[in-house]
Amino acid sequence: MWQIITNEWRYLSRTKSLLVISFSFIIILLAAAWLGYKQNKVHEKNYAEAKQYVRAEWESIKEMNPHGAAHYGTYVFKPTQVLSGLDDGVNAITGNVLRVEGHVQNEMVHSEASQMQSVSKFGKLKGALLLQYIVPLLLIFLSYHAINSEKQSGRLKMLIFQGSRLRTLVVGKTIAIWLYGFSLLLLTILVYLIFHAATMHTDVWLRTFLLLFSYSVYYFILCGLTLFLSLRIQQAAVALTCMLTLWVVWSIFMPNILQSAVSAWHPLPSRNVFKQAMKEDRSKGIDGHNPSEEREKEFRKEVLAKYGVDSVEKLPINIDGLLMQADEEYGNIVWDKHFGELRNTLAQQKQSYQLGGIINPFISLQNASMGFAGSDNYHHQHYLLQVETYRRMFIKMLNDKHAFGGSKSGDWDWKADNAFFKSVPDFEYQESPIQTSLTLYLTDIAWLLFWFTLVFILLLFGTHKLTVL
Amino acid sequence: MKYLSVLFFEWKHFVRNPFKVIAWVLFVAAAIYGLHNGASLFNKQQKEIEAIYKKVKEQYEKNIDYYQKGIKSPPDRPWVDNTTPFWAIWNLPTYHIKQPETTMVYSIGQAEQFGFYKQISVWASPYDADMAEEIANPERLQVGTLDFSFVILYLTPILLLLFVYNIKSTESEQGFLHLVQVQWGANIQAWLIARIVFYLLILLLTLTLLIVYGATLTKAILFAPEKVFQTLLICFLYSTGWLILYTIIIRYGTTLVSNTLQMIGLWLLFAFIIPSIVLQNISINKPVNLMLTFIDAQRDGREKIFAQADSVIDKQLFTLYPQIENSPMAKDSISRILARNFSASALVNHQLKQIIEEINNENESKNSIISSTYWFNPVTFFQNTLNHVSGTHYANYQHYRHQIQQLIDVRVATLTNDIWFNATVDLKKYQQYTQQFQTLPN
Amino acid sequence: MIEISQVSKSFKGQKVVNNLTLTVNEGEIVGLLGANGAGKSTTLNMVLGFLTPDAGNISINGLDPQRQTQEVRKQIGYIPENVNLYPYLSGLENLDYFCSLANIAYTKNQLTDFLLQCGLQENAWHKRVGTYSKGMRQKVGIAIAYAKKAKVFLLDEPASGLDPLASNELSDLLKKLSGEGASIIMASHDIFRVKEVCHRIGILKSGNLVKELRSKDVSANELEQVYLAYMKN
Repeated sequence: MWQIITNEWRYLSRTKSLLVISFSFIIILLAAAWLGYKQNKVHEKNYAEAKQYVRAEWESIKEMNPHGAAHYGTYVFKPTQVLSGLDDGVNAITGNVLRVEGHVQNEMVHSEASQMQSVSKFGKLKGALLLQYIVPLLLIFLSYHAINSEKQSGRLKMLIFQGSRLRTLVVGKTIAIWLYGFSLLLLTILVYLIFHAATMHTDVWLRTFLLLFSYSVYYFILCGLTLFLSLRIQQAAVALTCMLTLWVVWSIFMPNILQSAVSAWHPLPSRNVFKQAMKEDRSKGIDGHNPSEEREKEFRKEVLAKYGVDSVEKLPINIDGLLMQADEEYGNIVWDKHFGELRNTLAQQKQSYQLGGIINPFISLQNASMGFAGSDNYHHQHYLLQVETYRRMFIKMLNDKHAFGGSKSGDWDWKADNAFFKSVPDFEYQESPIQTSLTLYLTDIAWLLFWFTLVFILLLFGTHKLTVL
Repeated sequence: MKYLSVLFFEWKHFVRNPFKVIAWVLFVAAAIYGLHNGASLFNKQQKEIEAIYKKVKEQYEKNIDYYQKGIKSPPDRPWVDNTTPFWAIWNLPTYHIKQPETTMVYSIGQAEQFGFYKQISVWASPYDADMAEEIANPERLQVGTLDFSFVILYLTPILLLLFVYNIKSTESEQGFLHLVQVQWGANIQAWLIARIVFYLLILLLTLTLLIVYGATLTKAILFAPEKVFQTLLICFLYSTGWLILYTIIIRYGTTLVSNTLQMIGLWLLFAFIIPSIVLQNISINKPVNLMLTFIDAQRDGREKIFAQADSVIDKQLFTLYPQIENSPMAKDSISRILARNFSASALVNHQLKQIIEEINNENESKNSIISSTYWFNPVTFFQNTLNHVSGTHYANYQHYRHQIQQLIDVRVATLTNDIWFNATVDLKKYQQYTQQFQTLPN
Repeated sequence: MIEISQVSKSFKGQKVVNNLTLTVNEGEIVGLLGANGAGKSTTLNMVLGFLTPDAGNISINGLDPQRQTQEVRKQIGYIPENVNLYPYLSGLENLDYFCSLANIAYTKNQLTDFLLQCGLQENAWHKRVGTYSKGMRQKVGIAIAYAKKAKVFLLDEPASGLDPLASNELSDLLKKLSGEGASIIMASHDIFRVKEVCHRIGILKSGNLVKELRSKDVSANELEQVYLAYMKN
């Protein structure tokens, strides 16, 4: 086996055209790693500056009514993840700016894609683009002729008579070509990590390992399948055509079609319908019960009872702050209900899409790659949830200040001082550790391993009855 | 005669090659699927627009009812006075819609990255949060929708590759190219081109049928026949361009694998590598705009305007709208306060417009960079050209934003003028507003 | 008539054909014997107009293959070593296709007649060439050349890989063609077949025509001895 692998590598390293292609590939891959790193740095700088600027504005509020401040609000910007330089995932599609304010949960806006005309349907020149689309093609080109050339030249017969087993030969060649792909993969990721050495931590290492693992398995699937076809199909060109067709179907056709299909199976509401439903739930009460006026009346009664007074004017606190907070909390329930449903639908779409891995390992690779790079929709939703948690804390602080800061009910001119505004913490995004979300990607890993096993079985047992002629 | 024979026999070459036939069938299936995706989005947007119109109509009729009955305020909002321009305009529901073009069936383009309806108010701006795109799974958007333009841009080159990859190289590898040459005569290129032309004809016929079919899905054939023709022309040019490149490879290539590799390489270069490099380059050199200036203008800018001395605000308003300086409200110091407070949105709008212009210019500079790469980035060029024809290009949405701004300006100008001239809003005036606020200025 | 006069051809400084002079008259079959790399195929390619001689002249019935390529090719029937043709077309369809390339229109009956004359049995006409044996493919190749009604035939190792029966049928057909006045050059390794079919035989070694003899003057064994003697020296 080892001799077969080394012999194949000798062939790969002594074929001039292949060396030229490999060299060009390495250059492009390294360029992609560097550009990914550079873009991350630019984004980080941009993000840090914007965050600092908005925070400085907040902290510079000398005095303001807390509710005025809730309307003034603040902004949060979506930070970059260490590995998004390798796989940008949904980052270019989702917005980058989210306004945090009272009464309303805003949507994330100003995506990169909305700020210019179309350029690339397959995203930026990131490692993922090359590792998902281009390297597999190279591996197909290296594999499709590997057995066929031995067969056509008559060497296969000689090898068999020299004592090699067909199975060993096929597995050996698969491993040899897979190692070639793995080397390109490893090189790209290593170089990227070297650029990011300063920001590496355990979670990123773990994510990187999982990325490496997913791509490696996918490369083995492709190499093994192509070699198997190369053995089954007499004409090398037909084997190549088959694999190219499969590549197009797997990488281009199916992800598109399946995504559209799962969107149809688990439809999302239109923005208008969604907003309207939320608005109605908030004003009329969830499912039409408990409308806002009644809620307000009830709440007023409770507060008066709690303080043992019979009128708002006699309250030692500002009831407006409490009313606003109560309304916020009801709004939060409404938000949790509607956004929860939305997230559930998105999760259902994702689960259905992941099932596509059974017929297309590329789908599993793409999911795993985005997921482990922390740039998929799950991580985006995780970010949005953290922002919403922050918004709740932020608004509660302001409402509490309005209620208990020293003003009386109906006093909208009362102002909190600068010290208070400085005391309101800034938003700090805590990245989701991979351990907590790993279960989400187990399906993708499982399908990749299923395909790996299938191809391995094909190589081991599928070659059994094949003739060398 | 012999050219016709070559074409006739090429039909046999085609139908006897299962890969070519399967590729063609898959292509047609993908194209039909893509057309239906485009039509589906068109219908979805139409449905959404209808729902919005319905909502607007209900609100409008409710308001008309107030005027007919002489009711100044809704019972739950006694502070409202619908006879004043401020409240009449405040409560007048106006949406500006970007109607999807019937040619959206061909290219979804950037339609899913922008909102297509916007409520116009005097405080609105074309970059408001409600201009966000429809709710969609970002992973689906990232993978991209398989629309007709996707099929044309990315799958046509593959289909053509599968059609022609073995022309000449098979004869050469099988050792009977010389026989062909001896039979054909002097210039074998004519034989080569005749064979390739056959596939071009097959493709053009297929595309024509598909485009006509697509046009029936949204009735584009009736409403925008010239755009359907443009789409056809673009697709023809694009396919022919690829076929010319492939012909060059076949002409100078010798082996099947080498030719296939070169064709695939070319496809990867034009469809993947070059566009992705261009995008990466823009992303690094012109990073995403986090809209800080816009945020500033909306928050602190607004605060600053309101914090100015009354005389300064008045002066600014009079500069923008000189006619109000001599209005009845301007002459009365008490009324002037009310008028000033109710029309200060004009100053905010004016300030936002300046910021928006900067944002637009920055976005345009990105677009200019992209356009300047077209000479070596043809796939992006054709993609944007198709988006243009389908009304789903950035520029179409930019134009839509521009219209929104125009409608905001009309609204703000009317509000300011009528407040300062102390106009009274009755049914007739309200109907006049309704008409006026929906009509784009020339 | 084929006239090759003092023709030379080099590749990368190495002479592949050196000062070759050869004439093939109407109704004559000339065999070119030689080892691999002796210059047989290069000579044929120059006659076909695919290669340009460095020196010397070639004329086909008075026409220059380099300058009057199209006219010359109209008069040439060419049979390559491996007649692979299009595997997914039948023998009849392949013949029809290649005839149409030459701008000749035949009826189906005429086409089948050509196939029959070249020894391809009726039951094979409509089968795909991919299912043919090498001999059957060769017969279609010959039928293509024959149907062209060429005055000159160039055959590059035509009997290579053919079984004795198919080889024999080929010999008969070539004799028939020469009987109809065709000029034929046949490049081959097969001494015995060349001796049997050709009127004259040229032995090529390293691009030089080292020996030219008449077939009727030597027996097959003598020809073999002469050939081997030249090859060993």
